[in-house]
Amino acid sequence: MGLAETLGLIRQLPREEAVGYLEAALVEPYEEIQLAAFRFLADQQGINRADVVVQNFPLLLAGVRKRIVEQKWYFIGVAKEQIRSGLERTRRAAYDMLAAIGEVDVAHLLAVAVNDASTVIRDNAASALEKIALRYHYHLLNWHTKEDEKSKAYVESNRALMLQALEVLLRTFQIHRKSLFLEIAVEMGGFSYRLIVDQVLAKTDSPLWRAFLQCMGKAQSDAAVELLFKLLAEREERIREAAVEVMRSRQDAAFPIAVASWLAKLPPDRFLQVSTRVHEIPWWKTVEQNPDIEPLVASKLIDFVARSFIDPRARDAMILTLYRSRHAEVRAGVLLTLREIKAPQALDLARQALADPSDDVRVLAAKAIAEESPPDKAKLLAPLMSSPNEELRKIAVREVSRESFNRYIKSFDRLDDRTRELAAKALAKIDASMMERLVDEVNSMDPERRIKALRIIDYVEAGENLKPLLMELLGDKDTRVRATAIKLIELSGNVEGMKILIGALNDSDRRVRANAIEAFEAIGDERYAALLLPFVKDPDNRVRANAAKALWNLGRHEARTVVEEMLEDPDENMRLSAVWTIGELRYEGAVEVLSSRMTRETSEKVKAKLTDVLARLTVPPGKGEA
Amino acid sequence: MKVLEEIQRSFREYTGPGAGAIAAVVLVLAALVLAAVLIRHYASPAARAARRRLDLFRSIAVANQLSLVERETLLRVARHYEIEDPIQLFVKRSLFEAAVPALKLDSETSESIRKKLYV
Repeated sequence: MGLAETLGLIRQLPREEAVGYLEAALVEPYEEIQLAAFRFLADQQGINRADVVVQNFPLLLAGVRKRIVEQKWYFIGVAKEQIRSGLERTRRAAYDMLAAIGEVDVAHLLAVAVNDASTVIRDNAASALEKIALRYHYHLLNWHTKEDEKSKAYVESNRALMLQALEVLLRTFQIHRKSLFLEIAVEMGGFSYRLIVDQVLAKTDSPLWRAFLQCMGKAQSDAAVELLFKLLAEREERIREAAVEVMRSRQDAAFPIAVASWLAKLPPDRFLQVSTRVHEIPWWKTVEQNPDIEPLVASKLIDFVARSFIDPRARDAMILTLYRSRHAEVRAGVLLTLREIKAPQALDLARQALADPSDDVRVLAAKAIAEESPPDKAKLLAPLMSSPNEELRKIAVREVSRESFNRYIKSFDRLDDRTRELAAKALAKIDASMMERLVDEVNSMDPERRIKALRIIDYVEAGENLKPLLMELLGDKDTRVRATAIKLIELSGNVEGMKILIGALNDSDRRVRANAIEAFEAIGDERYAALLLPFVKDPDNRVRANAAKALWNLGRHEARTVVEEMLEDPDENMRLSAVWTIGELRYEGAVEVLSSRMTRETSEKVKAKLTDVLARLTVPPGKGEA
Repeated sequence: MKVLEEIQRSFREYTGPGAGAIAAVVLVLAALVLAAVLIRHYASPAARAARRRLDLFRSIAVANQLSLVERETLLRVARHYEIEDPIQLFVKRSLFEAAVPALKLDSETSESIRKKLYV
């Protein structure tokens, strides 16, 4: 009993007759009657007249519409046939049904309707498409901004159909004028890129072109920024022009932020690729007008401009505008970047930045000045030696003393030995980093500088601290350097050093040999005396004298015989060295030996030396000696 | 029948008693023509369709357990709206509902029809 019974009996009538009754039931404003008729009409194994359902779609109630959506693929197929039928009423009903399905699956079919002869169909289709597009747009943004996985899945599964629809919709833009479709095309990024280039920007100044520019004029998403830079890198001038026009039009503060946000997400190689392709930044005025943009944004923009291919002068000026920022990080970034890119203004900015309210910026400025080392470096940094900021103070002290050290080194040759020593000791007191500087000097390529450094090391008695370095100098190419190094090193207990020192005893340079012997003397270990014995016969007076002195100090009293033999040597130099050595050894009877020689000496030089030494020996130790 | 008697009487008055045989022949012929007309009328597709609809109406009414009063009510509605095919009323509830106030149908009968047909 009831509808099912009634329609069951009707179903037995000839097909067309039954369809008539079923259609009459389908359009009744009662859901249960419509549903009963729908079941028979949509029965693919039975009557199978879904076309009747589609044709009457505008009269169908929610319950039936829901069933249609559940079987959408069957009905979409039927609607396609109905659209081709040519009757406006039928087409309209079919499009209405597609609009009710309202998913991206039908967007490409509805897109065709935008170009339909019927105004009503065109308007309805455009509205329906807008709804579908809005949903797609929502998911696109949801995915891009919140990385929502469901939205991502929705976008990806519907992308191909959406693109298919967009192709028609953009072609028919003049009819519907709905910019939402352009916004979607922009948001789809690379997927719709060809569509934009080939269709949207196909004709300069067309309504679609203008709408695109307008749409890009307010877009802020990563996809939009990416699209813009991609267009800017195109070969075709027409395309590049569009991008430049958009960039010129972007006077809103949000745009630089959008660019920076996009740039920040790029991998380093891509960032570099994008930056180096840029020849102009027409939107920089916006940055200039808002120098207080967030530090993260500003730093990315500074980095971007620094790597760009813009004329260096313009580029540096652009970066410099951000020094007006109230954020210390940004000012520091400007300073660092200008230095990195070797901008001519960097040093001037560093000078200016020494008065920056931020300690961090001042420290950077001081470092920059220290590295650039302008002629007025000491003058610029001296006021900071009393800065409450420890780092600043350290830099200033280090740099000012370095400057003093350099001046000292430069004037070294002009100073007498005592002034050199006093100045070296004074510098060592104020400059904690003097050792570093001495190390630098010791490592210098110029042997003169190395020798100077070794002498200073001697003055400030830093030989022990710099022993490893001086050890290396024992093998220096320059004999004077080797000789000086040997003199400075305390070698006892150092096997490597001893080996070098023993090797130095056979050095072709007499100064090296002499200093090596002095070094053995300083070690004070009598076991090494045997090593020195052959040198008491060295043809060089200084070597022989040192050997004798060393042997004496090591407890070998036969040294006295050596020096006294030297005193009788026909070689004037040999006698001079003997006089000096006896004066140093001060052994008992030394005065007598020298006095005796004085009576026989013929050389005026030797006599003068004898007089000098005898005068010292006759004065008690501790008096009269400097 | 009154018409036939009138024809016979006038014919008798006009022809006299000798014409009886002729009259009989005419009568037979007239009956034959009438039969042909009637046969043609009832055997036509339209007539057959009408009968089939009536049969279907009865079948549906029986299947839905409609009483004679209820069937008559439906036929009354059909007549009111000049619907040739009363089966339409089994699916077109809107017509029935419109007729309830228009024909001041008995509420009990109307409710019974609703329950039997439209659920």
